[in-house]
Amino acid sequence: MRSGIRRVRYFAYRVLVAIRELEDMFPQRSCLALPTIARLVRFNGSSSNTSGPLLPTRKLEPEAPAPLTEEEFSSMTIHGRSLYPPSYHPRTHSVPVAQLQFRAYNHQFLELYMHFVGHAAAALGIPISRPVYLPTQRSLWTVPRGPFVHKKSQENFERKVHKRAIKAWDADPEVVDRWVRYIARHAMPGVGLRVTQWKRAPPGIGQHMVDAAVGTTRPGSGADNVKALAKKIMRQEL
Amino acid sequence: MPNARVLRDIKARNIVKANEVLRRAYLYVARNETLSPQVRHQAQLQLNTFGKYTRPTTVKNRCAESGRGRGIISEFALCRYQFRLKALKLELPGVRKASW
Repeated sequence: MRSGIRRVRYFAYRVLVAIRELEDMFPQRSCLALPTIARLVRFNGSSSNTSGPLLPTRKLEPEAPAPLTEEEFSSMTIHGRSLYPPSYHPRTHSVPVAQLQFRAYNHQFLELYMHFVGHAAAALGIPISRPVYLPTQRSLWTVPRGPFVHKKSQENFERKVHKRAIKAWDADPEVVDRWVRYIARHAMPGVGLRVTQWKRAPPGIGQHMVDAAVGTTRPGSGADNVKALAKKIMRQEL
Repeated sequence: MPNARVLRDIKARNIVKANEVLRRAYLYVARNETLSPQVRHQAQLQLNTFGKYTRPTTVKNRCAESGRGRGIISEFALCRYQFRLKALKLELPGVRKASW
């Protein structure tokens, strides 16, 4: 029986230690768990926590951070950072916002452009993925060397398309727009860029798009126009 | 001045584009099994009066440089020999001699 009591006290002590550790990690939320554990401890007669009625001592809402001064901001700049790979911001909510796809016939300018894009995103605070290496497309053409006959001697030509993709999360659509425009303005020769952006739309967007499209169908094209014309032909000529 | 055959092909492409909807309408009537055979036959006779350049089968890919009708690589609109000449002069973007 005595070992039973000791076991309960030990258990209560271990739980208190765990709660204290939790407090350090999540200061706002752990104050809810303290009262029940403290009651348990007091019932068993140990005196590890004999403070008065438990009240949350920490403020539940953190203060807003003070805006940076010019000196603070300029001191945060890492000079010569383009010599090193870009730093990657951690994702806050993992909400995908954009996907960029880059294609080029050779990889040198593509790699340089990736480096530039990564640094630009780091400067703007956009969480992005590392560049994803999509499979290279290879087209091969085998053609006879001569203009006429002589099929047995041919020559091979190829064209490789190197592809990379970068995904962006969490940032404001305006920030992503600026990033994309900045990248496009300083585009690398021979590298093509395709941007897919996802934005939040208000409810009722589907109906709005349908209403906008209703008046814009071009006359004189499409299967319905063919059928209407066929009916007209049948009436007039046949 | 491009090849005579190239000029004929250009003419065909323009006329096919102009008549495509009309041609499809007549075809729709002629192939429609719910209509009476007389109407369908009439439509088919009308179709036969259209000229040869209204038919999309008249259109043929030709080499943009030499006008050759055979051995065309569609991506470059060139015949195989012209493709080779340009590729060796590095005039085609991304194309290089393959070796593996």
